[in-house]
Amino acid sequence: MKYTIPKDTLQGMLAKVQGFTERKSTLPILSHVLMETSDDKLRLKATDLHTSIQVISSCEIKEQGACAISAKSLYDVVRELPDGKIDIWVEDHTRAHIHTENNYIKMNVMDPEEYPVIDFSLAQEGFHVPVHIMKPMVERTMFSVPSQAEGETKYTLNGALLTATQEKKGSYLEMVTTDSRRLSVARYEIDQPVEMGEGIIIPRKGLQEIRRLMDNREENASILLTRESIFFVSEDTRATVRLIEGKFPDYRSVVNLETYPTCTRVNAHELLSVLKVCVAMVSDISNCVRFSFKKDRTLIFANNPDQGEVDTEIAADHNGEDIDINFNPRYVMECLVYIDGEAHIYLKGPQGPCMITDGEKTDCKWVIMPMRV
Amino acid sequence: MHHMWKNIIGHTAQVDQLRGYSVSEKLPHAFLFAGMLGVGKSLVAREFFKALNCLNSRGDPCDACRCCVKVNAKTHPDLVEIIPSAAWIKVESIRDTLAEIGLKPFEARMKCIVIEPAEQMNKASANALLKSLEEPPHHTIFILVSHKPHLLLPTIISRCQVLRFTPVKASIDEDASGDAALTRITSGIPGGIAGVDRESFLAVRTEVLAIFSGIDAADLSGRYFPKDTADPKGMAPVLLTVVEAILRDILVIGHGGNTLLNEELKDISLKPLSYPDVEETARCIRELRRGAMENINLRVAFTELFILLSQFSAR
Repeated sequence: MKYTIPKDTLQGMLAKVQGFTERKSTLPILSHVLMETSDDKLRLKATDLHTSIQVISSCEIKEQGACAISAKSLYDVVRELPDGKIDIWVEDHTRAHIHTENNYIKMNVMDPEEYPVIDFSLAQEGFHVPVHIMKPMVERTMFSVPSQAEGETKYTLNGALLTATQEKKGSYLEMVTTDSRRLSVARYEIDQPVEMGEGIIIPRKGLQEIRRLMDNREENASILLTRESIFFVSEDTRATVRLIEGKFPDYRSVVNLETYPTCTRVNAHELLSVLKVCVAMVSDISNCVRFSFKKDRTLIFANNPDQGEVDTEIAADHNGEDIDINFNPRYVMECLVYIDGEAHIYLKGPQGPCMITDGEKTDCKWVIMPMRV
Repeated sequence: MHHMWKNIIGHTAQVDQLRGYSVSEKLPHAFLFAGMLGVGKSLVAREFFKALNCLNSRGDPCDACRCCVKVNAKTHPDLVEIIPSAAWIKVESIRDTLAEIGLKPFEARMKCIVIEPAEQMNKASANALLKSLEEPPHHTIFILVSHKPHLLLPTIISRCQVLRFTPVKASIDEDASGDAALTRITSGIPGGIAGVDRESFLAVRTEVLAIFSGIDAADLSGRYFPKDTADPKGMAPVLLTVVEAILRDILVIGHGGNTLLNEELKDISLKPLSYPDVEETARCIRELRRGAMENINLRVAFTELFILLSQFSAR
């Protein structure tokens, strides 16, 4: 392998892949980047076995080849080199030579054959989802993926289900997460039907990475969905995450609006600020707030013998019987953040779950199980 | 008698069975490889993973493709090994692995989680494993490797397909490997002298055989255990293997046989065979095997063993 590349270009590429290398793993090669050439392009690939990234740039290639080289060391070296062109070549899979006008650096490399195989050849039937649709969908559901500490034994729940549905009104993408105490569904319309079978399950870690990539606001960025994988794609970058295999539990009956006979309408901001006060009061152990839904008001009561108590009343529009019910206030707050104006709280009864929506809009639905005291 | 897995000595039936699994679509989700330390269980586990995933010839690892090369270099991302962090396999290591169990294999067809030695899981670890062991995701299998399967919880064993590994027959490997004599001397447990290279193993054998030419038993023992109890180089198991092979030969000679593991014994004049002496020596070896890991005075114990051994000589 032999090529010449401007310092800034290489440094930029290395900076992008740094975060995807893994230094603590038992596989030492994961702290390396895979450097490959094909035609007139240089490709850097990195993976921590959860998220994999590839950055491409064109440069002057003199000899094709590949090698795996320590990501951090190379980045630290390149950063300090003077601006201008860098010549890099690798001899016999053992040493990389990095050459500028006055510097001559040799670095050990590893066999590229030992690097995990990452397939970035995008499937033809893939479907591009714009970031402005994908991002809110992830944000509105991600919080109910169980954290690793919670040790969810049903492994399919440790991620977000992403499916596509076709209805008379149009085509939709739907993202669902649940930790078995609450469930979040976000659904957005897309302009063309997409075939995703039973959907894909994106693990928590992968979801965080995709969100981070979307936050970078790269130009022409989009999410590419295929039947079996998800990619983040921008001008020069492609990233993919390793998915969870298995079947996500059936959630549709839980979010069926018709099974919730009672409804309260309440101002989301008002309720949110009341709950913030409650959270300041209740402890982590008895993490619960009592809601009394009555005809024209909602009473909220939190009590912690060690700290004190909160007793508040806000105006509400309620139809159906009066219901007294306990919820974890943090669960309710996490979805209220995404509601402007009126929140609709649908109820089944004093023992049943509640479902929260943004007014009449049913794009996002949050179901929360009550707490028994 | 031979099979296609060229890295494995013996274990024909087990290899045939695993090979069958690796080419069929029906695969048990959990295996327990049970047998003495050193017979080759973890080696078979690794070959099995290769057989499942080899890119060139499924069933018969080619040792040349990307997958096989990675397994040999211990860099395959889909071959996950859980080993004890100190005396135990702690529940955290099990949990960390299980947290990612749902992930699809990175590049292989089948992901494989090897737990070795499984009996070193403590109760909490074993219980944390139960649910996943019973129902792992589609493309994941467990291989539990155990040298002492009787120490495993019954709930673990009942979830696994058990494969027993017995010592390899010496005749099997006569032409399969140049180290035939070595395999014979180790009583068919090729890994029995793990940690000691071939040359030092043979040197130990020569030294022990010198007991018949009159060297002092206490001196010999003191050479290996200068500090009475400490055994930093792990020589005790090697010595036991050597003495056991010699004892076996003494029995063979006593019955007029001549297929010896230690050819040198032919030149040594032995007393007529005495069963009580053989039994006494065998008992000593057994007890040492059991006690070798405990805090006994190894120098004294091995002196006794060498004295017992020297009594077979006619000198």
